[in-house]
Amino acid sequence: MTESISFWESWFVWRDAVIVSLIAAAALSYLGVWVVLKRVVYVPLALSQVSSVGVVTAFLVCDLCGHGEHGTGIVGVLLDPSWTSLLFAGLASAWFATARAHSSNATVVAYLLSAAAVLVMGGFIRQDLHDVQSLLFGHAVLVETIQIIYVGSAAFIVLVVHSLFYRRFLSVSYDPDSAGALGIRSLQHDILLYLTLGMMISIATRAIGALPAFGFAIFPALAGLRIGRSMRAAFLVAIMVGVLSAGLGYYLSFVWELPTGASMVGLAGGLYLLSAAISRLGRAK
Amino acid sequence: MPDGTIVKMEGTVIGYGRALTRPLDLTVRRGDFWGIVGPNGSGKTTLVKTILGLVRPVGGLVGFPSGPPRFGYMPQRHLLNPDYPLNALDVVVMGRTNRFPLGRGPSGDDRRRVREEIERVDMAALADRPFASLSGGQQQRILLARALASDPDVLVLDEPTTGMDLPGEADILSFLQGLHARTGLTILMIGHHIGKVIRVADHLCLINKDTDIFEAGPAQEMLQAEALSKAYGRGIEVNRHGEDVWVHVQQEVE
Repeated sequence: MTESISFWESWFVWRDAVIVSLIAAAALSYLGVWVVLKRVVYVPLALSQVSSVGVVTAFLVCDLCGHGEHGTGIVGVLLDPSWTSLLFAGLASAWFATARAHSSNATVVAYLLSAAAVLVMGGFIRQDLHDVQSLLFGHAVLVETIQIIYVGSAAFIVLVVHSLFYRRFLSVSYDPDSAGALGIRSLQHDILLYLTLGMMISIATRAIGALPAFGFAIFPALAGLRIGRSMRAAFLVAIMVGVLSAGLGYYLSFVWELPTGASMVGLAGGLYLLSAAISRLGRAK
Repeated sequence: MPDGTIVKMEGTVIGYGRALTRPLDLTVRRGDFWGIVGPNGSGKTTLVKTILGLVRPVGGLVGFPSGPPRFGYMPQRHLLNPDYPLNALDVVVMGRTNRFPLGRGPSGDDRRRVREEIERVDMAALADRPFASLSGGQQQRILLARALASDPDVLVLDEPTTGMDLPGEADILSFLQGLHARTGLTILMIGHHIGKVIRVADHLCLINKDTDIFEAGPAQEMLQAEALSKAYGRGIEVNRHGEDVWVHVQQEVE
């Protein structure tokens, strides 16, 4: 009980991190349902890695041009790691959407090349390695207040785009040929869907870390699709599992002094296993 | 459009970036019922996807003299992902997605049309069942209802009886025959069993990219043993008994 009092007493310290984790978890859990249904589960991982290249590129170019940490003036704006990571994630999203039949190859190629590029380019950056790692992969324990704005804005954009295009996304994802025969442009809608995913993954990775961002895009969606009997139910269950994993995972990591990101993902994985058991029991009856 | 031409291919080369066939000519008129036949992998689906605008022709054009028609497409059901938690009604509703304003779902009119088509294919009792839990024949009916729910000018069916038992297959074919007779709807139907296709189609298109065969015309003219044998790469006999036509595939001799 002592720990729980400590947690609430020091709430102002964790508040921003918990809010960011909850928003990111809700948005990624929703998007994850599309990821799982489209059978592109490695895409979030690759997007996260590609957006890291954007961050490292920004640092490296600033170093090479002698502009200091993030550059100043117009260079500073253009080479802000937030924008470059978004740009790289956006380009990769468009590529994955276009690759379609070869998307698994594209995903693996992008992941491997990005991982290698981050390591090679990282060696040339003068910035303290810890700072770069923090910018690359964030950490869910403490986040800057500005991340609430970033993650909240990204989640809001996802909400707006998907509210407008949900029916078309469903149609082109389920049966692109029939949608195309109706005059719905499959490729354009796929690109838009992937861009929302790329944006959310990129921003969430920098805010809460690669592991939680990837975990929230997979486990809650798997749980939702195990239990949900309709698309709406699958989305709702996924979001609930994601939000519960983020909130409770954070709390438990504090109480038991565990790594925060790993606790959230571990809980999400546990809830997925529970949903699988419930689903199996339901079928057995 | 004095002659009622709805789709016109002139010198069209089909393929996925690389030519699969020589230039093809095909004219589909309003009210035609075309059977598109050939062995597996002969280019039937590529031909249909080219007409639908899903695959860009390698050469030539696909023209629509009376303006772009509304297509209703029924794909091969095994290509659909069974993991989507959709019931039969949800699947049919998708046939009208292009009519929904952005951010909106089906209107009352859309729901009425969807119900009508589900009843027309005799699936009203199973409309709320998960689509993936339906039998192959029931899924085919739902996909047919979806294609019809789009109020098409041209109904395009890709092997609509694949995987069905004989009664189910006969039901679908007689449904299509009745639909064509009642409404005069233009239909393009892919099949690889020519004996079944000729029971309903009034025009035939024989295609085999491997033997460079492409012939199209009225079914009675197309039912020549020589042309069919070339298309299928096997000996085929055609026997006529009055209006009835029987097609026999000869045993392959080692």
